[in-house]
Amino acid sequence: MSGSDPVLTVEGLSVAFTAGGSRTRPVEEVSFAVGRGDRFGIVGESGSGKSLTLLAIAGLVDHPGHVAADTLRLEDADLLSISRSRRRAVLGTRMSMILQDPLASLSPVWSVGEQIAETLRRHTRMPRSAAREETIELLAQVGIPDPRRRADSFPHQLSGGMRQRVAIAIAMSCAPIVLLADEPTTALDVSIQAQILDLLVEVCESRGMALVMVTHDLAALSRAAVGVGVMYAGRIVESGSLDRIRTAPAHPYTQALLLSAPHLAPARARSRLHTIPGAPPSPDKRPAGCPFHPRCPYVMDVCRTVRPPLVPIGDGVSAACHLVPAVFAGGGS
Amino acid sequence: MATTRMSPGFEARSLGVLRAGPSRFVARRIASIVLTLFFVLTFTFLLTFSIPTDPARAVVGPKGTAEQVATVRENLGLDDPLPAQYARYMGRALTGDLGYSYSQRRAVSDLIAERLPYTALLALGALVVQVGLGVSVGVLAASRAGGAFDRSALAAALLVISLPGFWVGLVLLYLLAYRLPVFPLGGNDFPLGLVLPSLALGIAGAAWYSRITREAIVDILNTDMVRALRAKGMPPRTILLKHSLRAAAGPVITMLAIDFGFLLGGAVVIETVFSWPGLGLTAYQAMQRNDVPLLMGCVIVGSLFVLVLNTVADVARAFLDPRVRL
Amino acid sequence: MSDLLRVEDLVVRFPAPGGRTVHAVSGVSFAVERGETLAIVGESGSGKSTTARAVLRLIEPTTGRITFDGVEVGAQRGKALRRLRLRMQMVFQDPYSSLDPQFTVGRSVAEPLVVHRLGRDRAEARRRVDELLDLVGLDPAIASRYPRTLSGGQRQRVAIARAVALNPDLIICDEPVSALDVSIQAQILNLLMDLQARLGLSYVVITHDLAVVSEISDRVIVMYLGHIVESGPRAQVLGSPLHPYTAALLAAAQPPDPGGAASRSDRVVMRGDPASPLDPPSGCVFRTRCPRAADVCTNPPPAFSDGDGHTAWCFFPMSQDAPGDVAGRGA
Repeated sequence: MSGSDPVLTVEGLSVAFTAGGSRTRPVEEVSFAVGRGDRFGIVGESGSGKSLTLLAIAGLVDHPGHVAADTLRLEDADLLSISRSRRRAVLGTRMSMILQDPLASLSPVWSVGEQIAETLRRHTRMPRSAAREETIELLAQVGIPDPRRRADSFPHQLSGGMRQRVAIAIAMSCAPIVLLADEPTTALDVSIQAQILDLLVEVCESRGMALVMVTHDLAALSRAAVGVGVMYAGRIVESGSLDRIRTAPAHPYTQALLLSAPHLAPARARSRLHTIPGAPPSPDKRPAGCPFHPRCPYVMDVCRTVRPPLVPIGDGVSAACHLVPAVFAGGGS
Repeated sequence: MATTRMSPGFEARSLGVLRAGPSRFVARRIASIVLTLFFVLTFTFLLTFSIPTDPARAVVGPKGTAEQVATVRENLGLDDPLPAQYARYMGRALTGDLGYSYSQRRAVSDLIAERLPYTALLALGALVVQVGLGVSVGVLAASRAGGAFDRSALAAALLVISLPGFWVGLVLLYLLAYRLPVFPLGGNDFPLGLVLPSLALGIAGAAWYSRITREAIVDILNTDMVRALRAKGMPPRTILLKHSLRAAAGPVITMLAIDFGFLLGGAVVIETVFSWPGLGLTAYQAMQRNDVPLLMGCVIVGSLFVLVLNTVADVARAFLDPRVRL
Repeated sequence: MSDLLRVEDLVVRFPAPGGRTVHAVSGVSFAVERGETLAIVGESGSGKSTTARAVLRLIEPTTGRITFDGVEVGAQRGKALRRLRLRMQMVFQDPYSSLDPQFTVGRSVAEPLVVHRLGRDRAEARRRVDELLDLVGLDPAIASRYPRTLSGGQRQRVAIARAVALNPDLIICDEPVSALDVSIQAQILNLLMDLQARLGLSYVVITHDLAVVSEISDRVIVMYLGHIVESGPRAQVLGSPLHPYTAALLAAAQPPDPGGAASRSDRVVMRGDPASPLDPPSGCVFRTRCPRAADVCTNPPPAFSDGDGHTAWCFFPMSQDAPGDVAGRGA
């Protein structure tokens, strides 16, 4: 994280759903901070609550979901307590979001140019002609060839990669400080994924935009993120720099995840993969104590009953595990 | 790169104007309509042979003599072989001659031409009620789904759909034309005389449209598209009207055009209740008097409208939704 | 002949609206030996799934010869075709839609037995189902449950049990782990490899994921827009790719080396979007996106072999200089 003040601060974020008589908390006590221009990746599998975390930050979680947090701040704006109209002013201007499947998230009945321009007109009160010119400029910046003509195309006429570029253009149109990206490359071909991730990184770097990207794909994470939060069963179980987590993961889940993921290692002979027994728990069936304990190779008695808090363990890494000693941050790196 | 005039922006271009291929589409459709009409005409022709009435007897009347009947038979060519009659019938139909009405003693085509405008007016009136009332209620209900208005709208729709049309018509007549003489008691006054029959005819359709619209919009409100729009910070009204309604319009438009086609065929019950001189009333009277040519004329005209309006529905859908290819 | 499956010059074309044609597969030839795993790698539009379906005759090939254990698949009809189908099975990508939600797990697994009338009575079918569920690592009690109560990994195991029910020789797996969580992918891949050792299966694995290819395959063929651009042993194809497309896929799949020399712009990144199978480029189909393309590439590319059965179809394979300059053009 850069030394400056964080632009996005999340502390103790939880999302709860009450259905019938039962209550589940798909997201529990998530905390992290993102500085200007930082790129933070949240990685997790199903049931980890990662997408819901992003939606909660954007304020897009509806009834019957309920969002609570100790702190949820975008620069000086308190995202928890702002009015709906204020939130609409914030979204799209200071914070914007791109979703997983651009074919589903773009309106099918309006041209892509119109969808970019309406954002501009809404938030900056630009006249139509200026908005059109700005739109064409944005399309060029995200690498769409022949932008003047393409602006009149409809989403279904474009390829998946181009649609996602349009979504990025919409998201950056009003120069936000933070861009939230929910699985931005999952619906795309491999060769296009790399292009889109590189584009995201370039856009963020050139505009000083922070990126919070949610993904389940470790390769995508490696390509775009600088800081990483690993989520499991609704909680962040480890966070730190990408390099550190990749080379010396502290939490047993992170270790097992990195080991068991299929690797591209052509020289290695075919062998069995390392696996994690069992499966990630669904939000309504979370184990007591440490949520990973039923699958953990180092499980101790305390793990079954006491939930380990997320604490700094040195080198800018935090982990939530009884096995890993907490190091007080006073000693520095 | 200055443009010489103000660019109108993207909205005009987004009105899915028909792309390459509309002329092919129209040509194919016209051919299809002609073919269908051909079958309809043939079918109605054959149907006339299965009706037990003797047309010659119908013309002459119950008091006519057998001789008169025989003369009329010969004049109408009713003893000619079937293919000859068929050829004659088709030939006349192609020139717009749909026969002669026994009960009204006039050419069928003249009668229909006279009555059609009334039916068209009533159809339009009913459509205004259906769309105006139905879609508005549906949109409002969808915008606060699960709320009090939504629930009452559902109850009201179910109630209205179960009411028989003639009953609604009679109640409206009683309340608003008799007790409170605001509207005329039937007849073909324009414009006041159009209000009550339009309401009576359109109200059930309005209930249907409110449900269809509501469901379609609620579905859309739960999609990623709406989520993305909210993430852009677009206001609810824009999300609802500019995006959701337009995306949901497809099924509504299709139903609308087909409805219109049927309405143009004449709304028998309502026209009868209100004595509105349209095709529906005409057809009913023809049925009562066994006036086969007149009845068949109404059937054919009705079919034609359904076919044409179907085509209009497809074109309208392509106009609104650029994904639909003709 | 130890080839279990031999595909020669397979061509599959589909009519498309407006009188156009989709050239899904344009002359593909390969063979699968007994007991080996062949991976077919490609992105969307490469024709890999169509190839698989044509092998099983779920789609009729336009032209080409498919020979299974010496028997020509295309020439079979009726009962003979059904007998052949017993020996080739398929596992599909999406475990959420490949199992009928109205069937219990037991019924889904038993279905092939029932359809082919194997198994004398219900009790025997039940026993076989239990055996199969156990084989894929599931508790036989799961047989009475419905797919919607199972996790993705469990459903995929059920699909595998169903595929194995008829003791096939060959199983074609179409993206068998793409829809699964990362930690579950490893479990399923292990299961597939274990079953291969135990039952002597041969696999054709269709995937876009090079890491999966690396873990599970013996030989690899790389497809692009209906053509095979490279084929050979796994270690060679993934370790020293000959074709620019393979190299680009590898570059896209591998995370940038954080301390490494290559900056983002140096790596081979393809330009633009995949071309459409409706209108494939002439000559080498990859030339519109290839950083090494030159004029000569409008002609059909020649085969270039590295020895060891490692072949690519390219005028300028990666082991040679690119046209024009020595270092090759980056993206």
